[in-house]
Amino acid sequence: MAVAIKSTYSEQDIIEGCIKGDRKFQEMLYHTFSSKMFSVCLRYANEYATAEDLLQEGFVKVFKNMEKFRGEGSFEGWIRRIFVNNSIEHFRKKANMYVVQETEALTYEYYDDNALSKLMKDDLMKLIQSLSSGYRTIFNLYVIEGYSHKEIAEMLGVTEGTSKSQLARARYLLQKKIVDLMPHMKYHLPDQEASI
Amino acid sequence: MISDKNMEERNDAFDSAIRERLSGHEPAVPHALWTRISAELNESEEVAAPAVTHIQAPVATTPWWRVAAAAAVVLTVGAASLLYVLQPKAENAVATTLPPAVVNTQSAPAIVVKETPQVAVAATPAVAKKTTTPSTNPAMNTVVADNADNSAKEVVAPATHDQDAELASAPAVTPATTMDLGSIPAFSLKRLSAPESLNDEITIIKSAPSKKKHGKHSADEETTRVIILNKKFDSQPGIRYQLPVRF
Repeated sequence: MAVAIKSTYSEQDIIEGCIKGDRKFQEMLYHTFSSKMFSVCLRYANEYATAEDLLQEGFVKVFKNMEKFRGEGSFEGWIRRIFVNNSIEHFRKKANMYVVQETEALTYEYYDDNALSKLMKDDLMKLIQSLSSGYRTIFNLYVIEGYSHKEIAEMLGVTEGTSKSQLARARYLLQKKIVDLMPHMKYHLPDQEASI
Repeated sequence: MISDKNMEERNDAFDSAIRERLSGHEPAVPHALWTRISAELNESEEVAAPAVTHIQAPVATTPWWRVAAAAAVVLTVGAASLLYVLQPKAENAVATTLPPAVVNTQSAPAIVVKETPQVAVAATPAVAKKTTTPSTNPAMNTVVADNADNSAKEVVAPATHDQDAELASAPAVTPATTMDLGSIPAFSLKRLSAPESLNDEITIIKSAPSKKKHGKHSADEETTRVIILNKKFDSQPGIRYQLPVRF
């Protein structure tokens, strides 16, 4: 599916212009995708400034590797993969990023689905950013990007079990943070008192 | 407690809700970011550019004809030096290129001393002792001095009885003569120590001075001639080098 680039130039024109290194076309491409890609960067980053750095690094990589795009799949998907991989690489260097834990089915019992709908998008983004980098990365890859645990394990060099346990912990912590942020939305269990 | 099935369902519902909430999220991008990206791209292009010109510069400043001229000069000088070193010695040589038969006829009562010193020894002026023993076998009137396998001192000295008698009266030839190799002109020794003859065996043939009818020796006759052979020249029949040595 062709990306709707709001200009007089077609997507192919812009790609070819970027391959030639034409700043005008590169700027067009930047303005077309910068907001979407900044959202991706914010989810993978732990703070706003880091997200800015990831956005800059990602676009530089896009422009330098533009000739590698072969038209297989959508152009936006190709760009998004570059940003995701760049973000993963950025946080991969951190030691003990993915702590191996037993696979544990967790969910925060006080969490109410309605709480999420009441939450502002920017607040939700900040809650995701507050997760540790290991949790945040796997949560993003599984929940948002839609990768399977097997794919995540290959991408990150961990086992599927690690991916599952990290996701469960990330989900649990996020639900807890949401409830903590909106205590009035706390879910009341019928027979209550389950403790974690 | 929540059952596993319910938990799974709740997790799926939570994931879907997160996706929905974030699907249309397009936050405002900092205005200065494109300027930073553009500057980084310019910087990377500038860094890459000088490397190319740096490689091209030395190629442009050295024309091909200079390289060719330099190579020709080097080859010419090298070849000339090589030929000069390897050429047969012309100066200081009393006789050159004499076939073996001529050598024998010139010095009838020849006393031939054969030994195999290394070229390195000849290159350093030193005293080499040579034992000479006159032979009484008239059949061996031909000098055979190119036996490279014989490392010991050997005497191959053909002479007739008359020649022996004549030789006895000659003051310059005595048994167990000691020859000073240092008296051989340095230039000749240098020639012999050329690299191609390093492994060759050198045979020194000393002939007695010839005697004239009136029993007097000329200045040339007082100079004992020494024939220096080596394997290399022996492989070319008829080529001998004869050098003057005074004892």
